[in-house]
Amino acid sequence: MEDEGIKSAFEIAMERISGLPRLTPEEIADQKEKELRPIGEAMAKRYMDGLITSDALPRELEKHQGEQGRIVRRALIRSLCRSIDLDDPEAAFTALAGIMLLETEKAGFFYEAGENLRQVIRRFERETEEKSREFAVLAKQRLAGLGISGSAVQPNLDQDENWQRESARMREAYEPRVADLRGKLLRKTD
Amino acid sequence: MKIVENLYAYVWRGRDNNCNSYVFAGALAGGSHVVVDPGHLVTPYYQESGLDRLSEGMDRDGIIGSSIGLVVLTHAHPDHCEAAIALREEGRAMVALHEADEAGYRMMGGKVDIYLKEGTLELGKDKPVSIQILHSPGHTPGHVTIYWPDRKVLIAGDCIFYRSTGRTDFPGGDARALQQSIAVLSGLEVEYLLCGHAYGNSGIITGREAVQDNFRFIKNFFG
Repeated sequence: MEDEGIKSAFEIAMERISGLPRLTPEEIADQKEKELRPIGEAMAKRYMDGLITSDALPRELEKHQGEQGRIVRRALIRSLCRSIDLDDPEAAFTALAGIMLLETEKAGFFYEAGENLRQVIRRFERETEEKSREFAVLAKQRLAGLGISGSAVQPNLDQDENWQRESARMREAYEPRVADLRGKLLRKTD
Repeated sequence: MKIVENLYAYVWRGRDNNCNSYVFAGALAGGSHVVVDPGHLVTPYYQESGLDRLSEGMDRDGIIGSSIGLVVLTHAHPDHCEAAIALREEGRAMVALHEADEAGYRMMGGKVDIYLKEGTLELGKDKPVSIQILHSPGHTPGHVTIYWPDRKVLIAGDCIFYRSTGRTDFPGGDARALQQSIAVLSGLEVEYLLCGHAYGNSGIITGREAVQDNFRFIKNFFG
């Protein structure tokens, strides 16, 4: 029996895509970037979560060679850079240490960057602590005026509008310094 | 119901589960009140108006139920704290809670103005009422009890009840911690033991001997 008219699903699919235009080199590169970037980002997350140790991070990256390795590496470093902010100093230094593990030949630059980051975060934390003490005293005075006082009372400054404004002001003052540092790191590693 | 001086008790008598509430009437500047555990806003099953009943009870005692300045929460379970969320949202009261219970309270939409630490809480300006906040974990990690040494009053929340104790099978519960908390409380001089629920009796145990007898029963029974 003749079965020339019967085609497999694969054959049908191939026929259909044969009519599509070929991807340009830019589109191919873009496609590769889209496929490989999440690998680098996931590697960064696992490192930040402690699932990849410092020793293992370069080895994990070495699993990806050539063009693929370059894309994964860039995504990894960019992700680590994004973890450098004022909210979580410990995470910021972990991220910086991770970048240094991957950029051993630029150790001097990263050591200096680390010192700068340490100084900015230390100043921010010191100022936040001093100001929060001042605001806690003011909040306690306001509560005492309402008839609420004593050693059991600790005002929650997060619900204090004045503190929220002051906290935002301090963040606005320090955040650009951290952003500047992030930018320098990205330029150095690109 | 007046317990002693300006302290009033509002025993829950509805069909649903809800807590007993206690009020230090006119304790704050301007004569506003301090409510310990306002309970449910509306109970979950029979839809009983917990906060309205509390306000009506306060009105009957000649305390203006609408004039609440501070809510002190023994812990962040909805049958104790739900109405506090509404009171704060309406701008009627600040809320005080131990920090260790804040996460659960926040999940219900609650916000805390004052973290309660173990220590002294002075209510009022000229002749303040001095009460002790005791961290009594076990039922929840941030459970507090309130002791008024001058009047020998203990507001026990869900730490102890008449012939019983609070549950420890909810998230954050810890039977050993509860046992230790009860051991501390049993060493206090207490004439009025005000429990968080009317389980077994009204939840109000009066008289030093009756209170000690209740502690003895719990220790013997629960170890």
